[in-house]
Amino acid sequence: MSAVMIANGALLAVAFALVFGGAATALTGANLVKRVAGVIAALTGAMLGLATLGASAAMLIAAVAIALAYCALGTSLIVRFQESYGAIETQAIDDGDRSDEPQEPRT
Amino acid sequence: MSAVLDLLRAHAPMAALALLFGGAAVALMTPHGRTSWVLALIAMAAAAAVAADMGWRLLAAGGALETSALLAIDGVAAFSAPLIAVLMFLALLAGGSTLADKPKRAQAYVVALHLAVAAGWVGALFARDLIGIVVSVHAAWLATAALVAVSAHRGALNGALRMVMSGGAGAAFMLLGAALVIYATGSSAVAGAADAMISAPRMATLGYVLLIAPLLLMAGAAPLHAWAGPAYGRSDAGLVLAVASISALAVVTRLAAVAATTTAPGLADGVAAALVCAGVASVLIGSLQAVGAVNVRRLVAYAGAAQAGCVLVAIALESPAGLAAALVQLLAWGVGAFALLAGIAASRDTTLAALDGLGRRSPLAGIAITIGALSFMGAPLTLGFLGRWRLIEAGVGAGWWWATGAAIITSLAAVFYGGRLIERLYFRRATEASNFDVDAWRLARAPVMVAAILAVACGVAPAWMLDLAQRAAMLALGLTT
Repeated sequence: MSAVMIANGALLAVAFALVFGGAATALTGANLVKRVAGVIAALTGAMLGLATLGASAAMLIAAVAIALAYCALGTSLIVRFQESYGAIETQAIDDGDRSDEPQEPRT
Repeated sequence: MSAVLDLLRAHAPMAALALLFGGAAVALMTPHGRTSWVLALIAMAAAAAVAADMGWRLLAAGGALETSALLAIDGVAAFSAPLIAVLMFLALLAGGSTLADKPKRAQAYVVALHLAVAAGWVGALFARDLIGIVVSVHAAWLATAALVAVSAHRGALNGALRMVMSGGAGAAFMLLGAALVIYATGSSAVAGAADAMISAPRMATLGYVLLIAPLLLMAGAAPLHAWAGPAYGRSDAGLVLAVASISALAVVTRLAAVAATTTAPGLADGVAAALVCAGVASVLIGSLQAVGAVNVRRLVAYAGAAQAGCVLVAIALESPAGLAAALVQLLAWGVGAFALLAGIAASRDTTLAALDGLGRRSPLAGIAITIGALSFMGAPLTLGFLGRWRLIEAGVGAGWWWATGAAIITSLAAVFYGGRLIERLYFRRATEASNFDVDAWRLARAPVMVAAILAVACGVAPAWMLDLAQRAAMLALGLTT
């Protein structure tokens, strides 16, 4: 096994770790800033994976554009949450929503 | 004039996209909200007409498939793009009455976002390669999330946040999945996997699973539908709900088209197994949640998850009959959900109690909700019945007897929650919660009745629609040209 293949394998492993770790943070983070950071980490991992797998320049540019768009909308949502709820902690936001209406049954 | 029409017809996919994006730009630049809404309606109607003409030429008149460097039409796109464009037009028309509730400066943005959503989903259906799909899907998803975020209720922000977070994570998975598929198949074209000699089938299967999982999430398929409850339950009535529902429909359609190309040896079984697992889980969880729902809009979201599950099972059959069943089921889901959501928009409250006596106070809204509920149940003489019937037929034909179980569970659960809706409409007295919203209903009336009439008309005279679905499935699977 050549050194290039080993390096590519390691890079791909890092990319997967970033994508899965970032996704977990984005979906379960206790703070909205951490969640947006998780999305950025996941998309950075995806870009690393694309580069390692030899994706085209068009695909890399598309990935950057998607990452920027999610970052922009996520950041603007943080501002709106601070204005509406006075908090960016997910627990405080969920408590606010719970007080507004009854919960649905969970499965 | 005829030269312009010929040009539009010759480049129908590009023309539809140009009309939608151009309409969004013009709507955004127009300072007056109502004018911007009228201009957007014209652009959307023109795009719907172009898409419908293209679909008719391809499926009914036997025209040839068109392909360009960026865009391509397959059978699924030819069948679904007109449906999605028409439903988006009806949603925009119905949403006009609630536009005045928005701040003046936001009205043009809302209208432009609506067109951006439509352009994103239509673009995703016409995208020739995986990059185009990923970009279009996420453009549409972000626009949908932004529409949800501008709702008046602050709780809708939570729905938008969940959409953005899950969409961002999904974008990472989709990009990685697309790269793995391209690496394994050597082609970025969506149709490339159909006849490719795949050097690494496991890598290709992993790629497709990573590509499909975020689409399931966006389609609101259970258990990946954590965003759907807050987004549906707390968004503004009418416009946003209909857009979110049509988005789910478009996602599953795109998924059907992608899955139809995964017929290469070593790939088909893995993708089919993933779709079956997701479909059955969505049917069971979605049905259970719909039965227990106390918020009527969330009930429609959960019922949609169950309907999506049926479509996924039909797609997993990977046969012409299965794909045709999926398309009929998609049509039934889209029209039924639209009739239900827009009918429910006649009431300001979102609890089930809001429907008490609505059938007497607003007979047309009552009829629309009843037809939507009956279609979800799969009652005879509705589109839903055709969807279930074709799914059972395709499942039995392939020896998948358990697939009939999925259809029956969906229908039984729908009898329970749909029956509850109908009982409240006609057999209860109006309460304080059942506050009829005259303003919201004024413009929603016509689109809702169009959807309700379509649901019944296709159920009564289904031959033409079944023929179109069958030809679309044959085209998508490359069994005819």
